[in-house]
Amino acid sequence: MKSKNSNSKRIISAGLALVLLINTACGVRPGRSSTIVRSFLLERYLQDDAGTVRGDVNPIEPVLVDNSTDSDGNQSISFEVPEHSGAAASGGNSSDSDDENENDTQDDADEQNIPRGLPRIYAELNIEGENLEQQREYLRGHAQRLAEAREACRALNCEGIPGLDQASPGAIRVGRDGFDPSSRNTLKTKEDVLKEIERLENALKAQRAEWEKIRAAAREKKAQVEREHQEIAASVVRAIDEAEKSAQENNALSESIQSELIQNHNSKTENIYKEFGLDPHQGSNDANSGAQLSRPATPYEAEVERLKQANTLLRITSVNTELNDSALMFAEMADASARRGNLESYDIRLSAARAFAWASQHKGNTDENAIKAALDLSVGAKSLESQGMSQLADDSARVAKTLLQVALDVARLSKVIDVPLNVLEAFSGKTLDFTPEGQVFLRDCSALERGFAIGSLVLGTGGVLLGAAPMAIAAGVASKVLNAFKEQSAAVHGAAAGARIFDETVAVAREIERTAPKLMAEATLTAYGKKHIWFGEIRVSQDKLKVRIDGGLHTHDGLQKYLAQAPVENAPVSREMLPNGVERVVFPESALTGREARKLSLAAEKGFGKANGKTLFPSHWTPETIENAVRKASIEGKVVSVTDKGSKREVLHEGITVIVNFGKDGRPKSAFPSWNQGEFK
Amino acid sequence: MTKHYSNKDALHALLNFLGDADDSGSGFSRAMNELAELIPAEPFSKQQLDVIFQQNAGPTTRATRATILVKAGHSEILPYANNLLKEENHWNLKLSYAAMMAQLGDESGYQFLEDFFKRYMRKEEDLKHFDLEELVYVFEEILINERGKAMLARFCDEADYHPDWQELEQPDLP
Repeated sequence: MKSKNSNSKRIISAGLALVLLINTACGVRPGRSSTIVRSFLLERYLQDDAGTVRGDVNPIEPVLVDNSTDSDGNQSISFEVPEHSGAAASGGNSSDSDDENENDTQDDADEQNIPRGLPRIYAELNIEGENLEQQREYLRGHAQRLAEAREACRALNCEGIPGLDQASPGAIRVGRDGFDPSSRNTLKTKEDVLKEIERLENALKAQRAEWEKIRAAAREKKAQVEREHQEIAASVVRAIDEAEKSAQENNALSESIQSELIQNHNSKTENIYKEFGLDPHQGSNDANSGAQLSRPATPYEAEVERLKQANTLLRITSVNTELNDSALMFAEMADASARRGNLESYDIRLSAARAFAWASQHKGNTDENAIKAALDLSVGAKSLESQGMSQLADDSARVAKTLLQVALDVARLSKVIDVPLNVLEAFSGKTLDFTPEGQVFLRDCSALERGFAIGSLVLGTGGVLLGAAPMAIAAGVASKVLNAFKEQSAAVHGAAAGARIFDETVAVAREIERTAPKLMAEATLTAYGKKHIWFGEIRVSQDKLKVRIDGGLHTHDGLQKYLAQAPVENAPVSREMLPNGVERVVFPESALTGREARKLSLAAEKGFGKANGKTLFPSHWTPETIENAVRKASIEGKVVSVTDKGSKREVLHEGITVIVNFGKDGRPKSAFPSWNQGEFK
Repeated sequence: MTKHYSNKDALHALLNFLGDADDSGSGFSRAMNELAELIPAEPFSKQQLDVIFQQNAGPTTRATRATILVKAGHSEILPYANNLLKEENHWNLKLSYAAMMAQLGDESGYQFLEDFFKRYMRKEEDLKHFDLEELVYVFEEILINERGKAMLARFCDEADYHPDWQELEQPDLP
């Protein structure tokens, strides 16, 4: 009997599955009934589906094996379930089944199988987890109605009616499609039963067609799953291929980077070797290694190179990096002195650089005050240098060097007595003193000492700081000087008869603070200034017989225009073209006004040219080129002269040394090539 | 009222004088006048005058400093001007010192100028190429009192030198 129950369940399952698939195929949103159906199918397949056939054949579909009509016109229809579903078509009451054990065994075997194919798809549909007890209740009701139909058949003596025995396909269909309880009242005659059977047969045909659709849908679904599997497999293959390709590319890139790093490392190593004067290729057989000098180094170059190597070594092993920085700075300043041709300054600065470099190595006791003062002075030296006070910068370098001797406790009287103490005292507030044994030490200046030092410094710089202090400060005199002015004035005010100088210096300092902002150099030439430079200022007598230059005129164009109007005796007495295109022109007195001649003579005596001499910009220079030179001078020009009327700044622009005159308002008034091209004074 | 430099400031301004930064003869003259106005009336000491006339000073530099001091009315420079008049070889400078002396009231200065002009008019050998504009310059720049102006007018008339300078109008830049 159990086998027959199992077959009935299969039929019911097929019906429910049909409903589900139709709903799914038609896009019907799964409702409670469909959920129940899916849950039932799930339970069915997982618990007791003994005749499961995996693949594209519906395992529970009965097959029509006979559909004929006899001579009396009675239709004969019979069905069988597929053979692999066991003896579904035979046997009556499920409880009487003879092959119960066999089917149980089969069921047990199938229960070991994990659903695959469509059952898996169906099972996957059961995602809601509906109430299985409710589904079982539905089945129990259904079985009850089937039993009632069988009872009706027996009451009506249906034997002899084809297909209406209990195990006939007709009974099975009743079991599957349900039985209207009200039919017990309508199936009263044999005719009623025949009509009902016919109705059920027609319903079964319709169902069969639907099953075909189910099979088609299942096949399509299977094919789709297979396609998806193939696509996934193909994607995986592609991903693997791409990953492999990417890995190869990354590997190549990594090798390239490593190669570059190695190359870079080797290059730096080579440079370091060279910096130490070593041959990086020593011992190798590379005949092409190492650059060959086209000429032997001059003694100066050799010395510079030797010092650079020494300083490089010192920098690497320095203890005090600040001292090292100062050493480097003094070395650069020494180079600047050398370029200017001032070898005395070069010696002072280079020796300071070496002193700082060696001091940076010192690991013993040091006088921190002296170290700090030396560093202050090095900063001051740089500032003074940048403002054109090279001599004062040299003095600072000398004192700084001496201070290092003090700091390292190696100074003796004989070595330090000849130092410009006023520089030290004014800038650092320290002074040197001596023990009875002649040992040098550093102590704070008294206010008076520092004040006098400042005064001496002011006088010693040719009056630049005091006489024309506003402009000097505008040119950027080291701020420490100004601070010293103010501090020491307050300290020594009224302290001694000599304190008057401090009152004066403080007055200057205040004037500096007041006027400094407007003393910043500006870059724009006035229209007047441009014409002054280009054509000059030309005075003509009323009778046109006398034509004199009263200023300016620094271009070939301007000179030609002047000579075109001037009498022949005003032609230059000499013209000299310099290698960089600047032309020196010396005029006769008749070509210049008395004032201009006096002015040029004065400038010549101050080192800015030659009496009656003028310089012309190279012929290819345009007004814009001149303007650019002026702009450059305003930014980075070296101050070569400061007066109460303004300042002169020197700048190298496109190979031409240009002097720019700035008025006391900071605006450029004139510009001209310096007489001594390439020689910074 | 002009606030004068202190004596010390004036000294340093003189030592560093280069003229006006506009780089023209007229500016140079204007700068001298402006500095002269800032110099206090307080006489410079002999030590300071020694510095003015000796320290880093070429002939034109010395003459320029002296000119500024004369404009400021510092008659204490007379001995220096007198010495320099004799020491200098260039006519331009000699005339300048003579004009300074005259401006400061020293009659010998006038006399030197008179003598010079006579020699110029006689076209003496060493003055054949003298530029009369230099003589005009010392009068216009240094000897600016009424007597000096009259003297210059007379010289110009005698030499028929009336240039009447005008400034040449310049075209626009290229």
